[in-house]
Amino acid sequence: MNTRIGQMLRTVFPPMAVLVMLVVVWSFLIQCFNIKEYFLPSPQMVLSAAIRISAELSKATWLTAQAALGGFCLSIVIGSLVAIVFSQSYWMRRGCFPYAVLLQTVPIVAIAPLILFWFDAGIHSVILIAFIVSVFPIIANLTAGLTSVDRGLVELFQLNRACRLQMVFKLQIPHAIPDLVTGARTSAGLSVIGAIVGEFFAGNSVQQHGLGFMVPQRIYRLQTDEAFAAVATAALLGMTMFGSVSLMRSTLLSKWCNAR
Amino acid sequence: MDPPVALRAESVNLTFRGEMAVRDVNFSVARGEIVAILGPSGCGKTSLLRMVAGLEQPGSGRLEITPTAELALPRIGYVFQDATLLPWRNVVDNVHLPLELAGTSAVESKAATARVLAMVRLRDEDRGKYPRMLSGGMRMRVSLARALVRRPEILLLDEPFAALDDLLRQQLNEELLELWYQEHWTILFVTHNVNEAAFLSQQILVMSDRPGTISHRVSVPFPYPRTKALRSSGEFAEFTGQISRVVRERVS
Repeated sequence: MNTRIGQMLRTVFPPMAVLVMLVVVWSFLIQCFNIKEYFLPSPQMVLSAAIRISAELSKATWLTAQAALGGFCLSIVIGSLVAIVFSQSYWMRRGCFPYAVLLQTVPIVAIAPLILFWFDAGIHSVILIAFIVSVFPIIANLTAGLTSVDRGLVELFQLNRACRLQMVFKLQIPHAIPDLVTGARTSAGLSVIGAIVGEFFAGNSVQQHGLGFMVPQRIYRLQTDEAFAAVATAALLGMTMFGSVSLMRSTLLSKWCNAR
Repeated sequence: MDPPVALRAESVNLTFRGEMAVRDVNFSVARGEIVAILGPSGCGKTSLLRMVAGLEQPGSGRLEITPTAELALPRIGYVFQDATLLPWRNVVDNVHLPLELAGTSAVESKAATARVLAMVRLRDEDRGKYPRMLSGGMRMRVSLARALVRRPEILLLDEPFAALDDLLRQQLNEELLELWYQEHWTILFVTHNVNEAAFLSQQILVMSDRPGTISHRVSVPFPYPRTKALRSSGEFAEFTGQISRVVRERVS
């Protein structure tokens, strides 16, 4: 029991200590340099703004979370299918992988307005943007996992005259599960960024507004404390998504633990 | 009457990266015989075994495994140098894999898996464990059980006990022989350990290196059943001494 508490303390204490230090430095700077509150609000002001607009904030968070989750799920499904196709054909992999890299390298701020222009500016477009931002880690990690199966294991299947489907489903996919989970961890955080960028560009053209709309709207109105509250909530949402996948990781990978 | 031939190699050659790795190898293994391929590291003995298994194709020559009458393709059991177990499957599921790939019914699979696990002396409490929870010796037992689960006609062993300590290696050699007394598989195995080759086999094929070819064929004079007492006998020491000299001559 003591060890468990000790372990929890070791995990939780360092980031909490850093957070407290940052808040102290932040408050100190505001007091020291007499910074105007519309320019940089104090942590206390951000906290009270968060409480004041908590109803609106939770509604916006829920909308952003839906879009991010949608994009994340699409990334898992489509990214996995693409990776499986890549792993089965050398030419497909060589031919198409550079274009998958494009998803990672073309700035989303350049694509997002186009997507919103081509499609409607609703949640579907936001989900699509979240998907584009978050799919690459799934494709890259899973392709690497599917194509790096130990030669001895491949030969074991060949000796037992396994067909291609058996190779994929009984060897390559189980072998690549840890890589899929690693990709999913990165993808989970990225999907929140994608959803926020999508909402930012969708702006006022949607009926319900997520966190990505709230931040610029509050900045234009010089309600910086509320903008900060929205930013902090968005960061928390990203961390929650990342943390949930990380937590699931230990359950999902119990069989694979220390295996590779 | 001589027992029928289970495996025959005729003028087998293999070229690897422009160099001849195996040259003009000829030998045959009778059904139910244990034959050792003995040679120094890198002499091409593993390549030869891989060609027998069909994992590599010979550059020229013929390798033929004669299946028993009712089978179109011979059933081969192969044990790799390391255990080559699927880390996400437990012992039972690893052993069961060849039957699963062959589409064997669940009832039949269960019985066959239980039979071989008992044969290799894996205790009930170890059967649900994952490979990372097992010792090196236990992993090799699982690997051997997996190779035996489809009742192979020929068993190919690629230095399966090389990574184990000497005492464990000797114990597993004795257990392998005990199993062979009951089942009489045809066994072709690769080793660089003279004692192991002399203890297990009826015939030793000594390979020289660069390029690998069979330089000597030696019949092992000790009758079965062989017990651990054989290892400490003077004749065994003398015989292994002679074989070691032959191997050393071929290397130098």
